[in-house]
Parts: sequence; structure tokens; C-alpha cells
Amino acid sequence: MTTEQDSSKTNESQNNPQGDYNLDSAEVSFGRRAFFGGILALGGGLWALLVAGTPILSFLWPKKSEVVTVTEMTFEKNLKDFPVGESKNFMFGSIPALLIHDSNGKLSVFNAKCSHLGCTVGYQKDKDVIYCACHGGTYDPNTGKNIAGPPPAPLKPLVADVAADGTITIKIA
Amino acid sequence: MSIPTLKNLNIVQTVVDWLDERVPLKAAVEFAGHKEVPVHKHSIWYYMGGIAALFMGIQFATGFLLMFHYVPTFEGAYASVQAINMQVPFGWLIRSMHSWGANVFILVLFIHMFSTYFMKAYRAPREFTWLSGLGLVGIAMVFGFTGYMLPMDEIAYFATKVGVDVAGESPFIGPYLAEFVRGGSEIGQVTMNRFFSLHVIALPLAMMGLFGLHATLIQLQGISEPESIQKLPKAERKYEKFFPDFFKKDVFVWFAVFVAFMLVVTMKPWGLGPQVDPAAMAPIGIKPEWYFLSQFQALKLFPAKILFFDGVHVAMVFIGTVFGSLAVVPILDSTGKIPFISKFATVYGVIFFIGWLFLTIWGSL
Repeated sequence: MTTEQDSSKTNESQNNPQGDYNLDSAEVSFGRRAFFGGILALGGGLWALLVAGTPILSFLWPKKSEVVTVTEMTFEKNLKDFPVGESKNFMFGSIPALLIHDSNGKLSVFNAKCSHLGCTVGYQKDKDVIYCACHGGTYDPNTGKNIAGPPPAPLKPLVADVAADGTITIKIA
Repeated sequence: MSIPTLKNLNIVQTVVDWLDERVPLKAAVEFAGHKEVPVHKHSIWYYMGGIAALFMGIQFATGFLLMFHYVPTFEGAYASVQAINMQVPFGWLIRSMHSWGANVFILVLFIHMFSTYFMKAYRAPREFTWLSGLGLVGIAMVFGFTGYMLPMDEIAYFATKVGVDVAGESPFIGPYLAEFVRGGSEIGQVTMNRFFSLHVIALPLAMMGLFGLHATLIQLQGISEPESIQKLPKAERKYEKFFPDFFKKDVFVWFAVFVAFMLVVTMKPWGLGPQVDPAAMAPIGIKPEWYFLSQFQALKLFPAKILFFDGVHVAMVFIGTVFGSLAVVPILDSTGKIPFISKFATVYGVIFFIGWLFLTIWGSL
């Protein structure tokens, strides 16, 4: 309390260098005191927020995760053991991926993260679509294009190369 | 305090007197006795707050017990919950109480919320009681969401994924928010630490603080009466003392509810889904807990694009506005003196309730 009064007095004397302060302006001086008190409280609050907030936020902020980026991997099965209509969910590094031997005989491979809200999609053989069970998003198994439901974008493609001996290599697009 | 002689020594009275000099016991009892509870045909809804408080207590107690066996690691969580369910003596019981308790707690909170809404108990001077209650419902939902992840079964993983991605779709700060909540780009150990410390430290403290405010306001302002009862002539309005009359009934209701609860808990112990496999597709028919079904169904219904906007953004604005309106509409109607707004609040509540119920049931199908 004393310090507050002192500081407001200091402020007054700074603002009234001639010392023409009189009792009639008591109300004004009260307003001024409240004003400077408010400034002090606000400044103090912001300062405390900054001083406490900076270390806490920095402490909590996720560190740059050292993502082991996979650019290429050999698929677990040979093409001979992966006939038309077959599909497989697998991990491509840290991302879930989906490989489909589609009805055209082509290998399609996608990042299996649904473009809606990130669930993992899968191939539905009977309906020949890629489906997300979370909110019913549907994609074309040949192109990865979003064809029904809420997904706003196609699936991100990956690349599947087949060697002469049938070894399947998955690569980033 | 007079020093008792051997002749008139009354130990109980002496102890009570001694305590009362130090802790204002009699004043507290007298204060509780002053508070009166209106007796009328809608009085049954007055029990809901007390039942909610009972379940809050059950959650705190069983949660505390579960922590003795639960292992909050990405790799070990599933096995530890499995052990609680299958090996730890009465582990199944404690876990079943906690999981069922969470659901019943939120159900009771919803009933409490809707009943106070329709009795217009939010009106002046009780706006802060309403808002603090709304905050408690919000905290309970975050409790549900964070607790959901902890067993690390299949549904835990995808529920967390979707929940965090929804946050990630928020305007401007979305991607940072999602990254911050996850503690990285993928759900993992860091995410688990975050959810666990929120669930067992931050949220309980927040809930106790807000509940303290909520309960204090009710003690200070007394229990609100619906308009239809307020209009009655004084002679026709009946009251009973909160303490001990209403409180006795409260205890009886707690007992009855607890017995019914334990019947469900023991007859249908809470299970555990298959362990999560991050590579596998989300299982067909996956659904969140029932109290998120209305939001879930809304997210399903909004198409990919609405005009120039992503459907998911429109859905979020819609969901946010609808739930946010529960904080706004009662405040608009706080005086209760504007007939149009009063009527609007009632109609709005009915539409909200039916819409919420409809989406929840649809989402469950």
C-alpha cells in the first residue's frame, strides 16, 4: 500500500513540475492514482506472464523430432505372393502406408493417412474402394482420389517399383 | 468454555465445544440449516448435482487406486491395463468402476445441465453458477478424452488421432496446437505423458477448483425455483431445510444410485479392445464414446467442400458455435424480463436437446 502511494506521489510530482497541485483536484488525483495503479498491475501481470510463461512454454514445446526419413524400402512380399485384389497395410518408416494390387493389375501405394482427420485407411476388396472407418471417407483405389464422404483431398501417393524377380520396392513419390 | 467437573463431564459435548471454539462448526451447521430447498413437482432434478458430485468422488478414488498398477508408457500401458483386468485382485472391479463411472458421471452432468437449463436456474444472480457448471461439463469431457487414450487399445489410438487432428484444423494456430498436444508429429510416448499428467494432475485440480466455486455459489445463493413455482402465492410454496432434511434424502439417493451403479459395474465389467497396431487400418464400425457421438456424426455429415471452404472447417465452426451458445443464450435470458428472449431460450433449448439426441442416436447406429 505504501509503495503504491509513494509511486503515485512520484508520478504526480513528475506531472506537476510547478507544484500547482491543490486539494480541489483530489478527485482527479484519485483517478490518476487508480490509472497508474492499473498500469502498474497490468505491467506487472504481463511481466509475470512473460517470466513464468517463457520457461514453461519452452519446457513443454515439443523438440524437433528426429524423424528417420525412409525414402525407400523393400516390401515384405514378392509380387508372386501378392495377387490381384490383395492389399496390405504396413509402416513406411513412421507413416502408415497401403499397397494394393488393383483390378487393373497395377500396384498402387499410398500414404494411408486419411486426408480428413488422420485415421488409417484400408482397402475394401468387395467394394473395390479405399475406405476410412472413422468418418466414412472413400477413395479410388487406382488413383487415391477422394470420391465420397468428408475427405477434402486425395491420398498422398507413394511409388512401387517391381524388379525382374518380382521384388517390390516402395519409394517416396 | 467452562471447565467440566467430574460430575457433569460429558465427553462428546466437551469435544464439540472445544472444536467449535477453534473451527466454527455450529455456525456452519446453522448456515446449512438456513438454506432451504423448495419442495415441488420438479424437485427431483435437485438431486442431480449431488449425484454428479458422488460420481466425481468415485472417479477420484478409483483413479487414485488405478495409478498404483497402471504404467503410463506407450509400450507398457496396454499390458498394465490387461494385468489390472485379469491379474490384480479386484483390479477388474476398480477399472470397471472407473470406466463406467466416467460414463455415468457425464450422463448425470448432462441431465443436471439440461434440467437446470429448462428450469431456467441460470437466471440472475446465478449466471456464474451456470457458467462454472458448463466449465465442469467441459472439463469432464476433456477428462474423458484424455482418459480414453490411456489403455492404448485400438480405439484409444484412433480416438486420440481424430481428436488431435480436429484441434489441428483450428484456424491459424491449428497445426501448432496439434503439434503441441501430440508433443511431436506422431502420437507416441510424449503424447502419452501429456495426456497422463493432464488427466491425473491438471484436470482434477481444475475440476476441484471450479466445483468449489460452483458449490459455494449454490450455498450462498440458495437453490433456484422454476418460474411456475415462483408465481404461486407464498402460502402454497413449500420448503424444507437443506440440512438435515434434504441432506438425508440426498444420502439415501446416493446409496440407491450407488447400488444400481455397482450392479452394472459387476454384471458388465468394462473390457479392453485389441492392442493398437499403428499400421493397421481403423477398424470398421469404430466409434467414440457416446458423449462424443453427436460431434462425430456431424463430422461425418459435412461434405468435403462447402462453397469455398473445407467441410471439416465448417463442421468445426458449427460444432463450436452450437456448444458455445450454451454459454451465451442463458446470459441473454438472465433477467428473464424480456418475454421474447425467454421464449427463445426455451425453444432453443428444446431444439438443441432434440438435435443433440438425434445426432447421438444416429451416430450410434
